[in-house]
Amino acid sequence: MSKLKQRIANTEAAEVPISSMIDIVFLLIIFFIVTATLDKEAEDQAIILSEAPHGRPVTKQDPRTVTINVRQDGTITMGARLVSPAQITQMLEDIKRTADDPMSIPIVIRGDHNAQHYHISKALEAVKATGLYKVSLTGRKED
Amino acid sequence: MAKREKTTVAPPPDASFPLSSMIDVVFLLLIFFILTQKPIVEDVQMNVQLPAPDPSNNELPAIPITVEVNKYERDNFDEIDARLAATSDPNEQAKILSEVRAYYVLNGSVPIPLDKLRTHLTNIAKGDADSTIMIKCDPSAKHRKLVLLLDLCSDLELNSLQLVENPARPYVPDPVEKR
Repeated sequence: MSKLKQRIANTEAAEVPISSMIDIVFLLIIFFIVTATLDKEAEDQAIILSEAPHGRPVTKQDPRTVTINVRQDGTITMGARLVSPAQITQMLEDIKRTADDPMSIPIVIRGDHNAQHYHISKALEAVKATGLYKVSLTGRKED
Repeated sequence: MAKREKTTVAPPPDASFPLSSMIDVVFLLLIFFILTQKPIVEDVQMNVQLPAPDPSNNELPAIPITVEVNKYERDNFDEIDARLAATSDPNEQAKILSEVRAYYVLNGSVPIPLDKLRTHLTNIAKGDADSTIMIKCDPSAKHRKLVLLLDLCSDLELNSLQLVENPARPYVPDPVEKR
């Protein structure tokens, strides 16, 4: 074998290391799938929150938190369901019956920035009727 | 004797994955998820207190500080014009005009914009950060104005906020948007 042929045989193929790249790509995919499905079901995507630049960001959410969404037209949703104020009271009463320390259940009201306060107050009245008092309104930090 | 036929063993089939097409699919998925990923919006929550269901149980602060959120905004001049045209009393007209650029009413005085309200509330917060602020929101006002006020109070660390009804104001529904 000539020297030249030997040198060519010894040269490794200049391939991209595919297997490690696939590892990274799969990790990225899994990350995006997981974060996409975590897109909280409780939040109504039709709602644009008001700006609240100074508010305290939500760091640790109580898992019992009940989220009530109020759309611009006054439609109220909980989870993916349209509800009436009477149904909110009913559902909260049911939750109260089953939970321990029911009075500390946090209620979060996510109102659309263009909704009139009348609609928000309907939801607040429904909460008030159950006696639950840990109520907070939601805004968003940035655009 | 017949010559024994030479048996040839077929080379084993290539047992590797079709990597290149899989990478194509994986990259497509990756690009799809990157593109559909929404920017992370940080939600903020502002606590409010509601009055007790039974009005007799309500403890009102000794010196109540009330902030009214009214409905007027800079952009609804048509309505202001209509109201100005409806009255000929100059005092009434002056009152209407004072509301045009005003959003909030502190302790029942004249309507003021948010930056002026900030000055007043800063003084209140310096005096007593535990002061209870009673917020009366006009039912016709947009929710964002209430959130702005709550955000201001949160910034000034005024944490005792009570949201009360404002029965003095009528509810005027917004005109239905044509879609």
